[in-house]
Amino acid sequence: MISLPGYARRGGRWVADVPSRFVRELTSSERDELARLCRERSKALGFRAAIVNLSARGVPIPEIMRQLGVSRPTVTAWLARFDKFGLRGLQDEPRPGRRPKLTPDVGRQIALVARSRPRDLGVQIARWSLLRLREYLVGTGAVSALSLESLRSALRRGGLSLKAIRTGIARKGTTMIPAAFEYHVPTSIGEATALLAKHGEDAKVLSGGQSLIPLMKLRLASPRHLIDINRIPDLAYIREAEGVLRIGALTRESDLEESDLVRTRYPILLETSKVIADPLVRNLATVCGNLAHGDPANDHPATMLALGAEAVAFGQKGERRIQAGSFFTGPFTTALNSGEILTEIRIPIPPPRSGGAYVKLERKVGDFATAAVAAQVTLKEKGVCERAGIGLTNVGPTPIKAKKAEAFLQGKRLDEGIIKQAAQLAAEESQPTSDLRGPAEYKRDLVRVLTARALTKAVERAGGGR
Amino acid sequence: MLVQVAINGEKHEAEVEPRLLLVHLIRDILRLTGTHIGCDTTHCGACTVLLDGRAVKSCSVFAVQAHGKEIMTVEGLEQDGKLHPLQEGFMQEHGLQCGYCTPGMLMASYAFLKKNPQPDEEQIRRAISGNLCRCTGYVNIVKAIEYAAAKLRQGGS
Repeated sequence: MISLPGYARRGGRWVADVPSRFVRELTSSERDELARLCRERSKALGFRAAIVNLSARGVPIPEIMRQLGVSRPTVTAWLARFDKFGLRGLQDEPRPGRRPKLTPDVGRQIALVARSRPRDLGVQIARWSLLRLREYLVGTGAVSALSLESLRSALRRGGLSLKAIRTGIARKGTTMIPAAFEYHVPTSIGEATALLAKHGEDAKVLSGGQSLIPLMKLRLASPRHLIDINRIPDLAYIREAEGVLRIGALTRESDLEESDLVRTRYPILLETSKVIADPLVRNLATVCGNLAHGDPANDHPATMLALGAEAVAFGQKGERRIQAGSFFTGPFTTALNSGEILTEIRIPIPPPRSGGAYVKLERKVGDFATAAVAAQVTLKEKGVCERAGIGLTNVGPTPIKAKKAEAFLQGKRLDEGIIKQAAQLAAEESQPTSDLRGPAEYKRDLVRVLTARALTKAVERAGGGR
Repeated sequence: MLVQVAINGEKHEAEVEPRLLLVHLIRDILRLTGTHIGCDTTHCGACTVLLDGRAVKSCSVFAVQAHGKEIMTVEGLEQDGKLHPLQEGFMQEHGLQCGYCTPGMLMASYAFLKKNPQPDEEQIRRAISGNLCRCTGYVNIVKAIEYAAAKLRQGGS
C-alpha cells in the first residue's frame, strides 16, 4: 500500500488529508428550516442551505464539493457564515445603493391584498385597479403614502401584475387581453355618428366584432373608443322594397341563412354566408361588417360586386350611397369616411331569368378562400346575356370586379365556349400573390376554373340551361 | 362598468373593465369554470356559450356586450340531477377523450338541435365545424349528437 504524506485514500481517490471541519451543532428548528430551504434548491438560498445541511449530517467538505459541484472556498465561506450568524447568515448581504422604500414585509402585505378579491375585504368593486389598491392600502394604514409607480414595482417584485391577477393567467405572454378602451353604447344612429365624429380615428364601430375583437386581442387594433352599435334598434332586417333587397347593419350572417326570402330568392347570398368562418362566428358576424372591414379575403365583397349592390353610408352630414364597384379602395380600406357608418346594403332585385352563384375553394371548413368567385347573370330571351357581374375573393389587394370578363359576356349566348373565354379573362384580371394558400400561378388558374363553375351554375339558375 | 347577466337562470352582476371578455367574466369572476378557453383566437369553440339562445364564442364577445342578456353555459344542461340527453349521448357514445372541447361541443350542438331536431350527419358536421377536437374524436361526437337528437325526439327531456 502506497502512502503519500498529507494525502489520504478516500472513495478510491487521493484527497488532501486535512482534518475536515463541520458546521456547528444545529437546533431542531434550524434543521427544519434548512430542510425546507433545501427543497428550493434552484434558488441561491436553497443551495447554501444544502451546504450546511450536508455538513451537519457529517459529510466532509470534499464530498460536499463533489455533490454540489462547488469550490472549497464557497463551502467554507457559507459554513463560517452559518456558524457565526445562523440562518440569517445565509441571506444575501445588503447591496450598495439606495434602500428600497418599501420593506419586504410591506411588499408581502401589498401582494396579499392584491391577490384578494376586493369584496372579501369589504371594497365594493369587482377587481383591483392600481388606484383602488393604493386607496385601500393607504386607507388601512398599511403604507402612509405610495406613488403608483412604487406600487407597480412592488407588485412586480412580488411576481405580480394586476393583469395577471385579473385574468387568472400568471404566465407572462400567454394573455390575449385587448388594450383598454372607452366603451360607448349609443341607442341611435345619430348618437353613434356624433361619437364617431368626436373621436375620429381613435374610434372603431363594434357590430358583430368577429374580426375586430380577435384583432384587438392580438393588439393589431387598439382603438381608444369602441362604439357598440348593437343596441341601436331596427338595424337588423332583410326585406325587399322599391326594387331593392335591403340588408341592415346588424343583420347577422346566420340571419341570412335562416331567412326564407334569401333561401328561396337569393341562393348566391346563402352560398356566400354559409362558407364564412363557422356557425358560431356567423351567429354574431354581420354582413355589413364583412364589407366595412375591407378585407380582400372576406366573402361578401365579391358577391356584392357581382350583384351590383350599393352601400348606404351614414354620417353627420347625412346619408350617401356608394356603389360596390367603388367601395373597396385598398387593403382593409373602404370608401367610408372615418365619421361614417355602413347602415345598409341595397341589392337591386334581380329581374326574371337571373341567377347567381358563389364558388369557393378553402383548405378546410371555415378558412379564408384560396380563391372564390361570385357570378350573377341576367339573360334575355333565347339565353343571350343581358348583364353579367363577376367578383373575385382573395386574389388581390382588394376584392376584384372582373370588368373585362363582364363586358365580354354581354350580348353573347352563354354556352360552354363563351364561359370558358370569360373565365380566362377573369383569371387575367386577378392579381394573386403567393402565400401559404398556394403560389400565384395556381391561384390564377383557380380563378379560371372557379369562374367557369360559378358562371355555369348562375346560367343554370337563370333558367338558361333548359 | 356594471354588467348584469342571467346565467343558467341565475342573476349575477359584476363591476368590470369594458375590455374584459365574456369568457373571463364567466370563468374568473363568476367562477363557472365549465366553459373552457382553448385557443383564445376565435378558432376552437371550447368557450361556446348561448347568448340569448345563440351559440357564440365567449372569448370573442366583451362582457359588457352581454349586459341584460341571458347566458347558458354547460353547467345549465343538467336539470334536477339528471343529465341532458346530449351529455348522456357523449357518455354512451364515447363522445369525448380528453374532454377539453366537450363543453363547447355540447353547447354548440344544444343550440343546433333546438333549430334542427332531425339533422343528418352532414348537417351535424357542419354545425360543429366551429368546434375543434384535438383528440380528433369527431366520429363519436357525431354519434353522440345523433343519440341525443333521437332521444330528444322521443321526448327525452
